[in-house]
Amino acid sequence: MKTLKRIWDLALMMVVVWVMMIALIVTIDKMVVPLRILAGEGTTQTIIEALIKLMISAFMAMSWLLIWVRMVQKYIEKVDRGLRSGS
Amino acid sequence: MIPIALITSFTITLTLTPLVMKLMRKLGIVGIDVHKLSRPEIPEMCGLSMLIGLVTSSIILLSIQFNPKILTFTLTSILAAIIGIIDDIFTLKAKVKTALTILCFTPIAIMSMIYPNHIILGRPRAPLIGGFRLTIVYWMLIPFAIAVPANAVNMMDTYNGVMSGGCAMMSASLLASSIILGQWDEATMSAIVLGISSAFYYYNKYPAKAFAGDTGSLMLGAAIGSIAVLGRMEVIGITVLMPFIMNAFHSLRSIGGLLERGEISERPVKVVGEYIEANLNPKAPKTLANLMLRKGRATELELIKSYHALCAISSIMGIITALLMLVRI
Repeated sequence: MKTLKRIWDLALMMVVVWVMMIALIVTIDKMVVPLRILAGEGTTQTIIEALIKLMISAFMAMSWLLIWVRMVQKYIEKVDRGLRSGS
Repeated sequence: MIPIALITSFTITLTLTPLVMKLMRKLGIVGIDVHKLSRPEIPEMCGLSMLIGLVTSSIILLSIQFNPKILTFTLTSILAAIIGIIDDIFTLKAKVKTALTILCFTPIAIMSMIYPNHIILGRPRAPLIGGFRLTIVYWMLIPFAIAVPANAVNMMDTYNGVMSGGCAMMSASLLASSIILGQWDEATMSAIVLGISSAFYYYNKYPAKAFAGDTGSLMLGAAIGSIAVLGRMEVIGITVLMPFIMNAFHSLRSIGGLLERGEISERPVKVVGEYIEANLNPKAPKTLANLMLRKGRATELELIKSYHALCAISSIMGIITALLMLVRI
């Protein structure tokens, strides 16, 4: 029971991060990859389009990481607040 | 092949570890268990027995039937273990060690060129969509696919049995996932890792009689990373490694990158009698132990149980990820 209490928030965080990771992969595959941004079929257009898609995907992945970091910060703030009010 | 891999790797490691322990003690390669009041001296670098267990089982399997994937997995693990041995003996700088582990990807890169039909890179399987194709980006990311797990597992080797027990759970999850996906080569490799890590756990569990050293931890991390890459199970790999990644990522972020032990002014935890407490100093690295102990102090055994519970959850999530790979939306 003690163990469960200690890991509960972190385990929940891990599950949320995992669900978000799967959602991120599905979103990139279903929404970013099929995007048609530029007209035309030339090599330059294809490269530019691929770069834009890469940037969108990288931005989404960075956002996922940032949310993970924020969740840990919130957890620390919440636990520390609890400690202060308890003492 | 799976039972052979499991039994040989387990038996060899279980038999060899006491001998390696004696040898390390004789050579004076010992470390202090800092989380115990008596601060006992424990033989270090005993992960050597896991390396021998892994290599011998792989040789037996390769002599039955040659398999480029098993050979690649073995070479990657050996390379990581060599870096670990060097670090255990000479203590490399943190940045040098990390840079060297990036090189552990070399066997996979070379073997994928020699056996392009067996080792397919850049097409990771993914849950709900089956998989996706990455070309240039994959080659940019792939060196980290071995370096990240190797270093993350290495950073988690701080309490008795956490690293070996965690790796045993992760490899069991990878074994189940490989069977679900019908990937028998990866199942065999996972069985080897499960065999060596669970046998070593017997000696490494609380109170530890043997420490794996960087030899064992870097090798286990690289072995798990290579299974994920070779089996196109990168997403499962990230999932099962989540507690390890969380530990490494947040502690490195909180101290501002790779630093030497001496450069870190505050320890993540404090030992007070038989209890371990979180160091609440803002400069203390936010390791998983620091985060868990903020909720209250714990004995070492209680803390180890918490680590194992997190690893068990991530291992179950790994199996669910594999099941989701069979579903298409």
